[in-house]
Amino acid sequence: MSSIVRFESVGLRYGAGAEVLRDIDLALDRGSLHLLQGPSGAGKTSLLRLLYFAQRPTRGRLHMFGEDVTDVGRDGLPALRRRIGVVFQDFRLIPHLSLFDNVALPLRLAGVSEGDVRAPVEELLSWVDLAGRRDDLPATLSGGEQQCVAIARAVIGRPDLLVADEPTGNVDAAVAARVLHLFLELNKLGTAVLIATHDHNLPLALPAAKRLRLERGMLVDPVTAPAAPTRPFRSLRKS
Amino acid sequence: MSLDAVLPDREPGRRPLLLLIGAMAFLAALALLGGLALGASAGGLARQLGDSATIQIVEADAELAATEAERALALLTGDPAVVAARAVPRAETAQLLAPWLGGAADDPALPLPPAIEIRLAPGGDAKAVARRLAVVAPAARVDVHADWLAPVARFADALVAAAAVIVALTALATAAVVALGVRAGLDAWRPTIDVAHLLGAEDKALALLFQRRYLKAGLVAGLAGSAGAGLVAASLAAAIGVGALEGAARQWWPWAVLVGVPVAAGALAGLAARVSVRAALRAQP
Repeated sequence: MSSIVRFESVGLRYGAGAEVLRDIDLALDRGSLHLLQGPSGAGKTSLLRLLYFAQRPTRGRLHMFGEDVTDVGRDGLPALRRRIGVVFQDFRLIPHLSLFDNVALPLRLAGVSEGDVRAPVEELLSWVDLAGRRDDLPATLSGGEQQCVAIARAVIGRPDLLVADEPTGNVDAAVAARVLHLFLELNKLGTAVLIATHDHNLPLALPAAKRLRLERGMLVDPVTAPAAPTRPFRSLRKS
Repeated sequence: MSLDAVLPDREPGRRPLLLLIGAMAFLAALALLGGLALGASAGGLARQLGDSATIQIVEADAELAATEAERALALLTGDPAVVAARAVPRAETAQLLAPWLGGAADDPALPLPPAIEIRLAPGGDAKAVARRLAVVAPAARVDVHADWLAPVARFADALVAAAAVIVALTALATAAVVALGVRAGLDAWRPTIDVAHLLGAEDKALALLFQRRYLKAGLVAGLAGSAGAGLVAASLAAAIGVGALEGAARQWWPWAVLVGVPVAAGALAGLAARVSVRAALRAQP
């Protein structure tokens, strides 16, 4: 089986509320590239949170890397999480650590010896064009630069799966193009990539990506689903 | 580096926490020193006097008194409940009375009752000895030292028990303070800890980090508190007399307390931190 992620009738509810995700059946293959689309509140972030175990399914089964991980205990999570790179919508860089230490963190948490940390971190900082600022703190960077650091941190552990939540949401067009380029490069190296976005330009920028669409907590066919209005705020913009 | 650099060792409330642990260690060490000193001296007193008794022949006729004393000594020497019997020389009795009678105690005309000091065998029944004695020496009066020593021993026991309670309470308070400190630390670093978890940090690494830090804090604060208690105890002993201080310093247990309290404070703080972190993390999804 080449799926590294498989959802079987997965449902998720927070507390006693209604299900925010319903009957999700989904398989992500090794080395695949997916775009997860849908309006705000459709459950995109919730679905990603299931993927990096910030949330556990309240219904259905979740398989990852060939195992049923639906009920995996807390002690089993670190090993799984080290195979998953996450780019958070709000970056979540650690403010009191330098760029170098931020990017190095996943390796150090995994117990990689200090001698083997330096080279890959410097390589990745160069990859995102921030080699000269390795000792700076995240707060001194622009939003786009912080996004790049977050991506470097997400991929340093050579994850089998990379999930990114609105990676182009907080950056300008040039940075967005660069970020997407980084994802594509990574995908070519064999990492499965799942990008959640409500940016309608992304499918155009990533024509090779398979599209997934969430509507009100359910996966729908991205082709037959009624398209969201492309310019909902045209009248506002004029004024 | 691992987690150490990720969670800087400067969460809020660290200094008051050190102060509290130090104060607890001070109280515990002082209670232990006091309790053990009291226990040791009460024990020594009981060992010295607990199995001894004094027999006086209360008889106005000196000749008769002397006869009864001889008979009593003969009986006591052969009595199976008595290990040792010794006639107390008149000079010794006079010396005991000197504080009250002054020079008059040395007057050979002063009528002093003949006295015999005995040491009872373990489990020896003083009352049975007194009954046997009454037959040969009706004027004999038996004064068992354990009788008047008992209230003193009970008081000493109560003080030792109070010291043990103080030590237990300080240990509890230290554990509680550490639990609060750990909560504050976890809360202060919550966002960072969450990210570290999502990046693959292990609970046991986090628990170990807090355990190490609190062990160190317990050791340092415990050392300060224990040193303070040692100084106070030394000055108290010195107030009793230089001999008391020197005597105490020659014992092994004051030093064991002064070293043991910081070690115990460190171990307790480390353990409490570990348990608190584990409990707090288990409560998370």
